[in-house]
Amino acid sequence: MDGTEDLCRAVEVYGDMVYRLALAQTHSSHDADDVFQEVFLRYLRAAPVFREEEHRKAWLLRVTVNCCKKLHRSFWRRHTVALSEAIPAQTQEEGELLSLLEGLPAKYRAVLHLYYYEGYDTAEIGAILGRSPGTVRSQLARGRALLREAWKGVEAQ
Amino acid sequence: MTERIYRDLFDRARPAPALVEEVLAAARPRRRRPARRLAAAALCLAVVLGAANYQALAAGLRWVVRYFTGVGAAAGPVLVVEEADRWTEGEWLCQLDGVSQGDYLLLELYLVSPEEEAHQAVCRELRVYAGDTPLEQGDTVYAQWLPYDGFAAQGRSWMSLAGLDCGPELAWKEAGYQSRVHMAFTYRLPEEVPAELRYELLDLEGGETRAGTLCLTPAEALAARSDSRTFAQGTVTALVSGDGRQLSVYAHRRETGDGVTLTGASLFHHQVTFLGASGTRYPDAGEGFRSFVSGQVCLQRAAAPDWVEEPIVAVEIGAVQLFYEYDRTEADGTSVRARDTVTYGSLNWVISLE
Repeated sequence: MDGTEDLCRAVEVYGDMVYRLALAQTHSSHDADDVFQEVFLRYLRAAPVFREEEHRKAWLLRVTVNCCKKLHRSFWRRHTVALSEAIPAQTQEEGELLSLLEGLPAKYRAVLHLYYYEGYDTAEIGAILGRSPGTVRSQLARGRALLREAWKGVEAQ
Repeated sequence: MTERIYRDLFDRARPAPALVEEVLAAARPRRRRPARRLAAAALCLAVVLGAANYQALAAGLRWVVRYFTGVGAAAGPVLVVEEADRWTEGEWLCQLDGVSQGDYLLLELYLVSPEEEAHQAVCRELRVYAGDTPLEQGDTVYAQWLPYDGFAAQGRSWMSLAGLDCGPELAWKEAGYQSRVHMAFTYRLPEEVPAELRYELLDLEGGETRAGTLCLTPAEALAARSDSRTFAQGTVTALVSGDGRQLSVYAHRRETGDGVTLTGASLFHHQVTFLGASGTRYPDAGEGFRSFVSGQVCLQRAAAPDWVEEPIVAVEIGAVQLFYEYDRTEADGTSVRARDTVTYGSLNWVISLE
Protein backbone atom coordinates (compact mmCIF):
# COMPACT_ATOMS: atom_id res chain seq x y z
CA MET A 1 0.00 0.00 0.00
CA ASP A 2 1.52 3.40 -0.94
CA GLY A 3 1.47 6.49 1.27
CA THR A 4 -1.67 7.98 -0.31
CA GLU A 5 -3.73 4.81 0.02
CA ASP A 6 -2.49 4.26 3.55
CA LEU A 7 -3.45 7.81 4.55
CA CYS A 8 -6.90 7.55 2.91
CA ARG A 9 -7.58 4.35 4.79
CA ALA A 10 -6.36 5.79 8.10
CA VAL A 11 -8.52 8.91 7.67
CA GLU A 12 -11.53 6.80 6.72
CA VAL A 13 -11.19 4.40 9.65
CA TYR A 14 -9.83 6.70 12.35
CA GLY A 15 -10.72 10.24 11.20
CA ASP A 16 -13.77 10.54 13.45
CA MET A 17 -11.89 9.09 16.40
CA VAL A 18 -9.03 11.60 16.04
CA TYR A 19 -11.39 14.52 15.58
CA ARG A 20 -13.54 13.60 18.59
CA LEU A 21 -10.55 13.22 20.88
CA ALA A 22 -9.14 16.54 19.64
CA LEU A 23 -12.48 18.21 20.26
CA ALA A 24 -12.84 16.63 23.70
CA GLN A 25 -9.37 17.89 24.62
CA THR A 26 -9.38 21.39 23.06
CA HIS A 27 -13.14 22.19 23.30
CA SER A 28 -12.82 24.13 20.05
CA SER A 29 -13.78 23.03 16.57
CA HIS A 30 -11.08 25.32 15.08
CA ASP A 31 -8.42 23.72 17.24
CA ALA A 32 -9.79 20.24 16.54
CA ASP A 33 -9.49 21.01 12.81
CA ASP A 34 -5.85 22.06 13.28
CA VAL A 35 -5.05 18.98 15.34
CA PHE A 36 -6.80 16.69 12.83
CA GLN A 37 -4.64 18.07 10.02
CA GLU A 38 -1.45 17.91 12.04
CA VAL A 39 -2.03 14.32 13.17
CA PHE A 40 -2.58 12.98 9.68
CA LEU A 41 0.26 15.02 8.22
CA ARG A 42 2.53 13.48 10.85
CA TYR A 43 1.14 10.09 9.92
CA LEU A 44 1.95 10.74 6.28
CA ARG A 45 5.47 11.92 7.04
CA ALA A 46 6.35 9.25 9.57
CA ALA A 47 4.74 6.41 7.60
CA PRO A 48 4.83 4.20 10.68
CA VAL A 49 4.64 0.43 10.24
CA PHE A 50 2.54 -1.57 12.71
CA ARG A 51 2.34 -5.23 13.51
CA GLU A 52 -1.25 -4.97 14.64
CA GLU A 53 -4.10 -2.62 13.78
CA GLU A 54 -4.62 -1.82 17.45
CA HIS A 55 -1.13 -0.29 17.51
CA ARG A 56 -2.01 2.04 14.64
CA LYS A 57 -5.07 3.21 16.57
CA ALA A 58 -3.01 3.75 19.73
CA TRP A 59 -0.37 5.66 17.75
CA LEU A 60 -3.00 8.02 16.34
CA LEU A 61 -4.58 8.59 19.76
CA ARG A 62 -1.19 9.32 21.32
CA VAL A 63 -0.18 11.76 18.60
CA THR A 64 -3.57 13.47 18.85
CA VAL A 65 -3.05 14.10 22.57
CA ASN A 66 0.50 15.35 21.94
CA CYS A 67 -0.68 17.71 19.20
CA CYS A 68 -3.41 19.04 21.52
CA LYS A 69 -0.81 19.68 24.21
CA LYS A 70 1.36 21.58 21.75
CA LEU A 71 -1.58 23.66 20.62
CA HIS A 72 -2.57 24.29 24.21
CA ARG A 73 0.91 25.62 24.97
CA SER A 74 0.98 27.90 21.95
CA PHE A 75 -2.45 29.29 21.24
CA TRP A 76 -4.78 28.36 24.05
CA ARG A 77 -5.89 31.86 24.94
CA ARG A 78 -6.62 32.84 21.36
CA HIS A 79 -8.65 29.79 20.41
CA THR A 80 -10.73 29.00 23.47
CA VAL A 81 -14.45 28.81 22.73
CA ALA A 82 -17.29 26.96 24.36
CA LEU A 83 -17.59 23.25 23.59
CA SER A 84 -21.34 23.78 23.19
CA GLU A 85 -20.63 25.84 20.04
CA ALA A 86 -18.92 22.84 18.49
CA ILE A 87 -21.57 20.28 19.55
CA PRO A 88 -24.89 22.05 20.17
CA ALA A 89 -26.96 20.30 22.83
CA GLN A 90 -30.19 18.61 21.75
CA THR A 91 -31.55 17.86 25.22
CA GLN A 92 -31.42 19.56 28.59
CA GLU A 93 -29.21 16.76 29.95
CA GLU A 94 -26.73 17.24 27.12
CA GLY A 95 -26.68 20.98 27.79
CA GLU A 96 -25.94 20.35 31.45
CA LEU A 97 -23.18 17.85 30.68
CA LEU A 98 -21.62 20.28 28.19
CA SER A 99 -21.48 23.05 30.75
CA LEU A 100 -19.88 20.62 33.24
CA LEU A 101 -17.32 19.48 30.68
CA GLU A 102 -16.46 23.09 29.90
CA GLY A 103 -15.39 23.54 33.52
CA LEU A 104 -13.28 20.37 33.52
CA PRO A 105 -9.51 21.03 33.68
CA ALA A 106 -7.60 20.03 30.52
CA LYS A 107 -5.54 17.34 32.25
CA TYR A 108 -8.60 15.15 32.85
CA ARG A 109 -10.22 15.48 29.44
CA ALA A 110 -8.29 12.98 27.31
CA VAL A 111 -8.37 10.35 30.07
CA LEU A 112 -12.14 10.73 30.46
CA HIS A 113 -12.71 10.65 26.72
CA LEU A 114 -10.63 7.52 26.21
CA TYR A 115 -12.48 5.87 29.09
CA TYR A 116 -16.04 7.03 28.37
CA TYR A 117 -16.00 7.10 24.60
CA GLU A 118 -13.27 4.76 23.38
CA GLY A 119 -13.84 2.23 26.14
CA TYR A 120 -10.19 1.75 27.14
CA ASP A 121 -9.27 0.63 30.66
CA THR A 122 -6.78 2.54 32.78
CA ALA A 123 -3.79 0.33 31.86
CA GLU A 124 -4.51 0.81 28.16
CA ILE A 125 -4.96 4.56 28.60
CA GLY A 126 -1.65 4.68 30.47
CA ALA A 127 0.10 2.90 27.59
CA ILE A 128 -1.45 5.24 25.01
CA LEU A 129 -0.66 8.45 26.89
CA GLY A 130 2.72 7.37 28.24
CA ARG A 131 1.53 7.75 31.82
CA SER A 132 1.60 5.20 34.60
CA PRO A 133 -1.65 3.29 35.24
CA GLY A 134 -1.65 4.78 38.76
CA THR A 135 -1.58 8.32 37.38
CA VAL A 136 -4.38 7.49 34.95
CA ARG A 137 -6.45 5.91 37.73
CA SER A 138 -6.10 8.97 39.92
CA GLN A 139 -6.81 11.40 37.02
CA LEU A 140 -9.86 9.39 36.01
CA ALA A 141 -11.15 9.22 39.57
CA ARG A 142 -10.60 12.96 40.05
CA GLY A 143 -12.19 13.85 36.69
CA ARG A 144 -15.23 11.67 37.35
CA ALA A 145 -15.54 13.04 40.90
CA LEU A 146 -15.49 16.60 39.56
CA LEU A 147 -18.25 15.75 37.08
CA ARG A 148 -20.27 13.99 39.79
CA GLU A 149 -19.97 16.92 42.19
CA ALA A 150 -20.93 19.37 39.48
CA TRP A 151 -23.79 17.09 38.38
CA LYS A 152 -25.16 17.04 41.92
CA GLY A 153 -24.96 20.83 41.97
CA VAL A 154 -26.96 21.01 38.73
CA GLU A 155 -29.59 18.61 40.08
CA ALA A 156 -29.89 20.56 43.34
CA GLN A 157 -30.68 23.79 41.48
CA MET B 1 -25.91 8.13 32.76
CA THR B 2 -23.04 10.58 32.24
CA GLU B 3 -21.28 8.05 30.01
CA ARG B 4 -24.33 7.55 27.78
CA ILE B 5 -24.94 11.27 27.33
CA TYR B 6 -21.23 11.80 26.70
CA ARG B 7 -21.30 9.17 23.95
CA ASP B 8 -24.44 10.66 22.39
CA LEU B 9 -22.81 14.08 22.29
CA PHE B 10 -19.56 13.00 20.70
CA ASP B 11 -21.27 10.66 18.25
CA ARG B 12 -22.39 13.82 16.49
CA ALA B 13 -18.88 15.32 16.26
CA ARG B 14 -17.23 14.69 12.90
CA PRO B 15 -14.58 16.44 10.81
CA ALA B 16 -16.05 18.57 8.01
CA PRO B 17 -15.80 16.95 4.54
CA ALA B 18 -13.72 19.94 3.34
CA LEU B 19 -11.22 19.32 6.15
CA VAL B 20 -10.91 15.64 5.24
CA GLU B 21 -10.44 16.55 1.58
CA GLU B 22 -7.73 19.06 2.51
CA VAL B 23 -5.80 16.42 4.45
CA LEU B 24 -6.10 13.84 1.70
CA ALA B 25 -4.94 16.39 -0.87
CA ALA B 26 -1.64 16.63 1.00
CA ALA B 27 -0.94 12.99 0.16
CA ARG B 28 -1.64 13.19 -3.56
CA PRO B 29 1.33 13.45 -5.91
CA ARG B 30 2.01 16.97 -7.07
CA ARG B 31 4.56 18.74 -9.21
CA ARG B 32 7.96 18.06 -7.73
CA ARG B 33 10.14 20.92 -6.63
CA PRO B 34 13.89 20.48 -6.27
CA ALA B 35 14.73 19.45 -2.71
CA ARG B 36 17.22 22.25 -2.27
CA ARG B 37 14.67 24.91 -3.24
CA LEU B 38 12.16 23.36 -0.92
CA ALA B 39 14.68 23.43 1.90
CA ALA B 40 15.50 27.05 1.13
CA ALA B 41 11.80 27.93 1.24
CA ALA B 42 11.48 26.21 4.59
CA LEU B 43 14.50 28.11 5.89
CA CYS B 44 13.06 31.46 4.77
CA LEU B 45 9.78 30.59 6.43
CA ALA B 46 11.66 29.59 9.56
CA VAL B 47 13.29 33.01 9.64
CA VAL B 48 9.91 34.70 9.32
CA LEU B 49 8.28 32.60 12.00
CA GLY B 50 11.25 32.55 14.34
CA ALA B 51 13.69 29.69 14.30
CA ALA B 52 12.11 28.13 17.38
CA ASN B 53 9.46 26.74 15.04
CA TYR B 54 11.97 25.37 12.59
CA GLN B 55 12.00 21.88 13.98
CA ALA B 56 8.28 21.63 13.48
CA LEU B 57 8.68 22.74 9.88
CA ALA B 58 11.54 20.45 9.12
CA ALA B 59 9.53 17.31 8.47
CA GLY B 60 8.54 16.94 12.08
CA LEU B 61 11.11 14.37 13.03
CA ARG B 62 14.35 16.02 12.02
CA TRP B 63 15.33 17.30 15.39
CA VAL B 64 18.93 18.22 14.62
CA VAL B 65 19.10 21.94 15.14
CA ARG B 66 20.10 23.40 11.83
CA TYR B 67 20.35 26.90 13.20
CA PHE B 68 23.05 27.82 15.65
CA THR B 69 23.20 31.21 17.20
CA GLY B 70 26.36 32.90 15.97
CA VAL B 71 27.94 30.06 14.08
CA GLY B 72 31.65 30.44 13.53
CA ALA B 73 32.32 32.41 16.69
CA ALA B 74 34.79 29.88 17.99
CA ALA B 75 36.16 26.77 16.39
CA GLY B 76 35.63 27.06 12.68
CA PRO B 77 32.53 26.60 10.60
CA VAL B 78 29.63 24.46 11.68
CA LEU B 79 28.33 22.09 9.02
CA VAL B 80 25.15 20.09 9.24
CA VAL B 81 23.92 17.11 7.27
CA GLU B 82 21.68 18.65 4.62
CA GLU B 83 19.06 15.92 4.79
CA ALA B 84 19.07 13.10 7.29
CA ASP B 85 18.97 9.62 5.78
CA ARG B 86 15.89 7.67 6.86
CA TRP B 87 14.72 4.11 6.34
CA THR B 88 12.76 1.43 8.16
CA GLU B 89 13.84 -1.86 9.71
CA GLY B 90 10.69 -3.77 10.52
CA GLU B 91 8.68 -1.52 12.80
CA TRP B 92 11.69 0.61 13.62
CA LEU B 93 12.20 3.91 11.86
CA CYS B 94 15.93 4.62 11.45
CA GLN B 95 17.57 7.99 10.98
CA LEU B 96 21.19 8.94 10.44
CA ASP B 97 21.87 12.63 10.95
CA GLY B 98 24.82 14.71 12.01
CA VAL B 99 26.77 17.87 12.52
CA SER B 100 30.44 18.85 12.38
CA GLN B 101 32.38 21.42 14.34
CA GLY B 102 36.02 22.22 13.69
CA ASP B 103 37.89 19.01 12.92
CA TYR B 104 35.20 16.58 14.05
CA LEU B 105 32.05 15.09 12.65
CA LEU B 106 29.36 13.73 14.98
CA LEU B 107 26.89 11.31 13.41
CA GLU B 108 23.90 10.08 15.35
CA LEU B 109 21.89 7.01 14.49
CA TYR B 110 18.38 6.84 15.89
CA LEU B 111 16.08 3.84 15.76
CA VAL B 112 12.63 4.70 17.09
CA SER B 113 9.59 2.55 17.64
CA PRO B 114 5.92 3.43 18.10
CA GLU B 115 5.86 0.71 20.74
CA GLU B 116 7.66 0.47 24.03
CA GLU B 117 9.84 -2.49 23.23
CA ALA B 118 13.54 -3.11 23.69
CA HIS B 119 15.65 -3.40 20.55
CA GLN B 120 17.83 -6.48 20.75
CA ALA B 121 20.20 -5.94 17.84
CA VAL B 122 22.13 -2.81 18.64
CA CYS B 123 25.56 -3.88 17.39
CA ARG B 124 26.48 -1.54 14.58
CA GLU B 125 29.62 -0.28 12.93
CA LEU B 126 29.58 2.90 10.89
CA ARG B 127 32.31 3.44 8.32
CA VAL B 128 32.48 6.88 6.75
CA TYR B 129 34.48 7.77 3.64
CA ALA B 130 35.58 10.99 1.96
CA GLY B 131 35.85 9.66 -1.58
CA ASP B 132 37.60 6.31 -1.07
CA THR B 133 39.46 7.38 2.07
CA PRO B 134 37.98 6.13 5.33
CA LEU B 135 37.68 8.79 8.04
CA GLU B 136 39.54 8.16 11.28
CA GLN B 137 37.30 7.60 14.26
CA GLY B 138 37.10 10.30 16.95
CA ASP B 139 39.09 10.11 20.15
CA THR B 140 36.25 9.76 22.63
CA VAL B 141 33.42 8.19 20.68
CA TYR B 142 34.04 5.25 18.44
CA ALA B 143 32.82 3.98 15.11
CA GLN B 144 31.51 0.72 16.53
CA TRP B 145 28.65 0.01 18.93
CA LEU B 146 28.80 -3.30 20.76
CA PRO B 147 26.55 -4.63 23.51
CA TYR B 148 27.71 -3.44 26.91
CA ASP B 149 26.89 -4.81 30.32
CA GLY B 150 26.06 -1.79 32.42
CA PHE B 151 28.13 1.27 31.66
CA ALA B 152 28.50 2.13 28.01
CA ALA B 153 31.17 4.68 27.20
CA GLN B 154 29.17 6.16 24.36
CA GLY B 155 25.94 6.66 26.24
CA ARG B 156 22.77 4.68 26.67
CA SER B 157 21.53 2.94 23.58
CA TRP B 158 17.95 1.80 24.28
CA MET B 159 15.54 3.92 26.29
CA SER B 160 11.81 4.34 26.81
CA LEU B 161 10.65 7.85 25.90
CA ALA B 162 7.71 7.73 28.33
CA GLY B 163 9.28 9.71 31.17
CA LEU B 164 11.13 12.22 29.01
CA ASP B 165 10.32 15.88 29.69
CA CYS B 166 13.14 17.77 27.98
CA GLY B 167 15.82 17.41 25.35
CA PRO B 168 15.81 17.05 21.60
CA GLU B 169 14.31 13.57 21.83
CA LEU B 170 11.02 15.15 22.90
CA ALA B 171 10.37 15.58 19.18
CA TRP B 172 10.29 11.79 18.80
CA LYS B 173 7.97 11.43 21.76
CA GLU B 174 5.61 14.11 20.45
CA ALA B 175 5.53 12.34 17.11
CA GLY B 176 4.12 9.31 18.89
CA TYR B 177 7.21 7.15 19.34
CA GLN B 178 7.66 5.33 22.63
CA SER B 179 11.19 3.99 22.60
CA ARG B 180 14.45 4.71 20.91
CA VAL B 181 17.92 3.39 20.29
CA HIS B 182 20.57 6.09 19.99
CA MET B 183 24.12 5.51 18.84
CA ALA B 184 26.63 8.32 18.45
CA PHE B 185 29.77 8.12 16.33
CA THR B 186 32.53 10.68 15.82
CA TYR B 187 35.14 11.01 13.09
CA ARG B 188 38.04 13.30 12.36
CA LEU B 189 37.42 15.26 9.18
CA PRO B 190 40.15 15.80 6.56
CA GLU B 191 41.62 19.28 6.24
CA GLU B 192 39.59 19.92 3.14
CA VAL B 193 36.11 19.00 4.19
CA PRO B 194 34.24 17.25 1.35
CA ALA B 195 30.69 18.31 0.53
CA GLU B 196 29.60 14.68 0.36
CA LEU B 197 30.45 11.71 2.55
CA ARG B 198 29.77 8.07 1.84
CA TYR B 199 28.85 5.66 4.61
CA GLU B 200 28.44 1.95 5.25
CA LEU B 201 26.43 0.88 8.25
CA LEU B 202 27.13 -2.69 9.26
CA ASP B 203 24.75 -4.73 11.39
CA LEU B 204 27.29 -6.76 13.32
CA GLU B 205 24.73 -9.36 14.38
CA GLY B 206 22.51 -9.62 11.31
CA GLY B 207 25.42 -9.24 8.88
CA GLU B 208 23.59 -6.76 6.66
CA THR B 209 25.14 -3.59 5.34
CA ARG B 210 23.43 -0.38 4.37
CA ALA B 211 25.25 2.15 2.20
CA GLY B 212 24.36 5.75 1.57
CA THR B 213 25.64 9.30 1.23
CA LEU B 214 25.35 12.37 3.44
CA CYS B 215 25.80 15.93 2.17
CA LEU B 216 27.28 18.55 4.47
CA THR B 217 26.14 22.15 4.25
CA PRO B 218 26.98 25.23 6.36
CA ALA B 219 24.53 25.90 9.20
CA GLU B 220 22.57 29.11 9.06
CA ALA B 221 23.63 31.83 11.47
CA LEU B 222 21.37 34.24 13.30
CA ALA B 223 22.17 37.82 14.22
CA ALA B 224 23.52 37.67 17.75
CA ARG B 225 24.74 39.54 20.77
CA SER B 226 27.76 38.10 22.52
CA ASP B 227 29.36 38.17 25.93
CA SER B 228 32.40 36.27 27.19
CA ARG B 229 33.62 34.90 30.49
CA THR B 230 37.09 33.63 31.21
CA PHE B 231 37.57 30.62 33.48
CA ALA B 232 40.76 28.89 34.60
CA GLN B 233 40.48 26.51 31.61
CA GLY B 234 39.78 29.19 28.99
CA THR B 235 37.22 31.59 27.62
CA VAL B 236 33.58 30.86 26.85
CA THR B 237 31.43 33.08 24.67
CA ALA B 238 27.66 33.16 25.01
CA LEU B 239 25.73 34.19 21.91
CA VAL B 240 22.15 35.40 22.01
CA SER B 241 19.92 35.80 18.97
CA GLY B 242 18.68 39.31 18.12
CA ASP B 243 15.24 38.63 19.62
CA GLY B 244 16.76 37.17 22.78
CA ARG B 245 14.94 33.88 22.40
CA GLN B 246 17.93 31.66 21.64
CA LEU B 247 21.23 31.07 23.33
CA SER B 248 24.37 29.06 22.55
CA VAL B 249 27.74 28.92 24.24
CA TYR B 250 31.08 28.26 22.58
CA ALA B 251 34.50 27.42 23.93
CA HIS B 252 37.53 29.25 22.58
CA ARG B 253 39.88 26.40 21.69
CA ARG B 254 43.17 28.02 22.66
CA GLU B 255 45.90 26.51 24.79
CA THR B 256 46.61 28.39 28.02
CA GLY B 257 50.12 28.93 29.42
CA ASP B 258 49.60 25.81 31.58
CA GLY B 259 48.97 23.60 28.56
CA VAL B 260 45.21 23.41 29.12
CA THR B 261 42.97 23.53 26.05
CA LEU B 262 39.28 24.16 26.40
CA THR B 263 37.48 21.91 23.90
CA GLY B 264 33.80 22.46 24.65
CA ALA B 265 31.23 24.23 26.78
CA SER B 266 27.84 22.89 27.68
CA LEU B 267 24.68 24.43 29.13
CA PHE B 268 22.31 22.85 31.61
CA HIS B 269 18.62 22.87 30.75
CA HIS B 270 17.56 23.93 34.27
CA GLN B 271 20.24 26.62 34.51
CA VAL B 272 19.12 28.86 31.65
CA THR B 273 16.50 31.54 32.24
CA PHE B 274 14.96 33.98 29.77
CA LEU B 275 13.84 37.28 31.30
CA GLY B 276 10.74 38.94 29.86
CA ALA B 277 10.14 42.71 29.65
CA SER B 278 7.61 42.39 32.50
CA GLY B 279 10.28 40.87 34.75
CA THR B 280 8.85 37.35 34.42
CA ARG B 281 11.46 34.60 34.38
CA TYR B 282 10.95 31.83 31.82
CA PRO B 283 12.82 28.51 31.92
CA ASP B 284 14.53 27.08 28.87
CA ALA B 285 12.07 25.21 26.64
CA GLY B 286 14.44 22.27 26.70
CA GLU B 287 13.85 21.23 23.13
CA GLY B 288 17.05 22.30 21.46
CA PHE B 289 19.70 20.64 23.55
CA ARG B 290 21.71 17.99 21.82
CA SER B 291 21.50 14.71 23.61
CA PHE B 292 25.13 13.90 23.21
CA VAL B 293 28.13 16.09 23.91
CA SER B 294 31.47 14.48 23.24
CA GLY B 295 33.75 17.39 24.02
CA GLN B 296 34.82 17.33 20.39
CA VAL B 297 31.48 18.32 18.93
CA CYS B 298 29.56 20.40 21.40
CA LEU B 299 26.66 22.33 19.97
CA GLN B 300 23.61 23.35 21.88
CA ARG B 301 20.82 25.80 21.61
CA ALA B 302 18.66 26.89 24.51
CA ALA B 303 15.38 28.57 23.57
CA ALA B 304 12.61 30.49 25.28
CA PRO B 305 9.31 28.57 25.35
CA ASP B 306 7.28 29.25 22.20
CA TRP B 307 4.23 30.35 24.21
CA VAL B 308 6.06 33.40 25.60
CA GLU B 309 4.60 36.40 23.82
CA GLU B 310 6.34 39.33 25.52
CA PRO B 311 9.79 40.54 24.39
CA ILE B 312 12.82 38.89 26.00
CA VAL B 313 15.16 41.51 27.45
CA ALA B 314 17.92 39.35 28.96
CA VAL B 315 19.19 35.80 29.30
CA GLU B 316 20.71 34.39 32.48
CA ILE B 317 23.09 31.45 32.66
CA GLY B 318 23.36 29.83 36.08
CA ALA B 319 26.01 27.21 35.29
CA VAL B 320 28.19 25.82 32.51
CA GLN B 321 30.17 22.64 32.15
CA LEU B 322 33.56 22.90 30.46
CA PHE B 323 35.41 20.13 28.60
CA TYR B 324 39.17 20.46 28.48
CA GLU B 325 42.43 18.67 27.73
CA TYR B 326 45.59 18.90 29.83
CA ASP B 327 48.97 17.21 30.28
CA ARG B 328 48.91 14.63 33.06
CA THR B 329 52.10 13.24 34.53
CA GLU B 330 51.93 9.48 35.12
CA ALA B 331 53.58 7.59 38.00
CA ASP B 332 56.50 6.65 35.75
CA GLY B 333 57.11 10.34 34.95
CA THR B 334 55.73 10.24 31.41
CA SER B 335 53.29 12.88 30.31
CA VAL B 336 50.00 12.01 28.63
CA ARG B 337 47.27 14.18 27.21
CA ALA B 338 44.18 13.69 29.35
CA ARG B 339 40.61 14.99 29.29
CA ASP B 340 38.37 16.18 32.08
CA THR B 341 35.32 18.29 32.79
CA VAL B 342 34.60 20.98 35.33
CA THR B 343 31.30 22.63 36.24
CA TYR B 344 30.96 26.24 37.27
CA GLY B 345 27.76 27.11 39.13
CA SER B 346 26.21 30.23 40.69
CA LEU B 347 27.45 32.24 37.72
CA ASN B 348 24.61 34.80 37.62
CA TRP B 349 25.79 35.49 34.10
CA VAL B 350 23.22 37.89 32.66
CA ILE B 351 23.38 38.95 29.03
CA SER B 352 21.18 41.98 28.56
CA LEU B 353 19.64 42.95 25.24
CA GLU B 354 18.70 46.46 26.37
